[in-house]
Amino acid sequence: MDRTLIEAARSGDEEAFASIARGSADRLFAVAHRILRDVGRAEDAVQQTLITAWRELPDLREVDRFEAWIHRILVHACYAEAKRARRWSVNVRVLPVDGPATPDTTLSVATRDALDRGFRRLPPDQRSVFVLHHYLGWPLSEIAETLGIPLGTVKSRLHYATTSLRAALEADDRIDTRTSRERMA
Amino acid sequence: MTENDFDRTARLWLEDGPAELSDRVLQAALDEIHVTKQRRAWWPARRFRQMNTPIRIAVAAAAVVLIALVGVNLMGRNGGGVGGPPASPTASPTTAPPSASPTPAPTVAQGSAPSSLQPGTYVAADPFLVQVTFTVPAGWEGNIGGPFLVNLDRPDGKGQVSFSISPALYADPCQADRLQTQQPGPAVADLATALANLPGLQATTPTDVTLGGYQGKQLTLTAPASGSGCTPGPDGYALWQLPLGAVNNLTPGGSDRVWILDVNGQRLVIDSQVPPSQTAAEVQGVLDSIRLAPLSPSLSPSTSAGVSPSASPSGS
Repeated sequence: MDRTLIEAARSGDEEAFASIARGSADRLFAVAHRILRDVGRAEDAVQQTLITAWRELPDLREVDRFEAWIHRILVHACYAEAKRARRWSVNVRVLPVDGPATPDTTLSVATRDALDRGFRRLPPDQRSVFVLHHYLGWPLSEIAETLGIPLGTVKSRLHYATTSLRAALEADDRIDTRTSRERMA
Repeated sequence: MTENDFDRTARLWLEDGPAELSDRVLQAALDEIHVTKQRRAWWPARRFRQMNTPIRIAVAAAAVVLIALVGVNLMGRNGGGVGGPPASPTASPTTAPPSASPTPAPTVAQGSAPSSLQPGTYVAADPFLVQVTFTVPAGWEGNIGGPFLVNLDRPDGKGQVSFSISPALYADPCQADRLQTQQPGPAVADLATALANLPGLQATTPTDVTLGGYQGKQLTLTAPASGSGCTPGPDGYALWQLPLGAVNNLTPGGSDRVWILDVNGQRLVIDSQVPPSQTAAEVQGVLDSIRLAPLSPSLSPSTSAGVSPSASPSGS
């Protein structure tokens, strides 16, 4: 991210912030969607993130930490959105495009469904660690620093998330196997 | 499945999904940023600032004047707040509604994201176009979503009150892909009639109400229990959209009480989801506490943009 833009936005330059927002919005949305698994909620979380970031940018002391800082805001916006009873939606979703941007043919529908179901059962704090690690590829230490939580907590959340999702996949495999046997019988 | 297999599967699964934010959503955020003041570095981040003691005392003086003026009007007309029993239709013209006191505004709220509210009395105004005073118990949150929306609710969905300005109605709440091409006229009655006639919803006949000196209409809207087949999906039935893009939804099977008031030429819509019985009294308390006033010139954004740093709540 361009330091000059961040410094200008921090000083109240709205155009500079708009440039930052345009450059960050897709990535933020992609992360929010992976955590929330809902287009509308992810959009709301990103909007909230951008507004909070704008408002609080003067408090950002280390410009180089902008990426981590805005992702931290995003994760907290996702937490808030996840627990929020939906009432007002902050944007118009005429025809939400909830499908895959690039269809993945290497995972079966059953595997995706099993992961979807398993993931939706995870609490938001486990989801966020899982997504930051597996989607953004962040090392656990960076996640801990970004979210402001101990490394042990990150490891624990990732462990629980992984265990739950593996269990969901394995349960799905057992059902598939049993169904196949019943069909054969 | 080995650990590597699982990691690979997880990565493939996570890559599978939308990765572009729509321009419309981004633009709505930028529009809202345009009316959101960037706080100074030494200010605490609060959207709704609960008044600390010194401010509360200072504000109380102004609020007493304001509430006293509104209170006289309430007692003289219907004896209750917004949620109180509707006044019987009156043929007598309403006298001029109370004007805002020239005292400095107890404006304590600005911004857009919901934040928790400590129990107490708040004033929402700049950038919202009407000054709204309300009292909330513990467990509520709220935000000013720009000039056109103030929303208060319980995060568990068991209580909600919102204030809207300039709503544009959807042609069909169940198929929220387009707004009505012919929006209601500017009168309170125009909007009330149009809401009552929204397709697919049950509506009571709009009745006259006078609240705090402001005349208006009240009706209740009820959505079918099932939202299946509707394009809004889990959000429910879309009632109206505000100029910055916020959409008010009515959950399937839910009912909303709606008041439409003329606040010195500003058409204000107060909307409250009919709550479950366990929170009905709480919601009613919030509704009863509502006091309204038009924004006076002295409350323009340039002069009332929050409290001064020295007076801002400390320790937050």
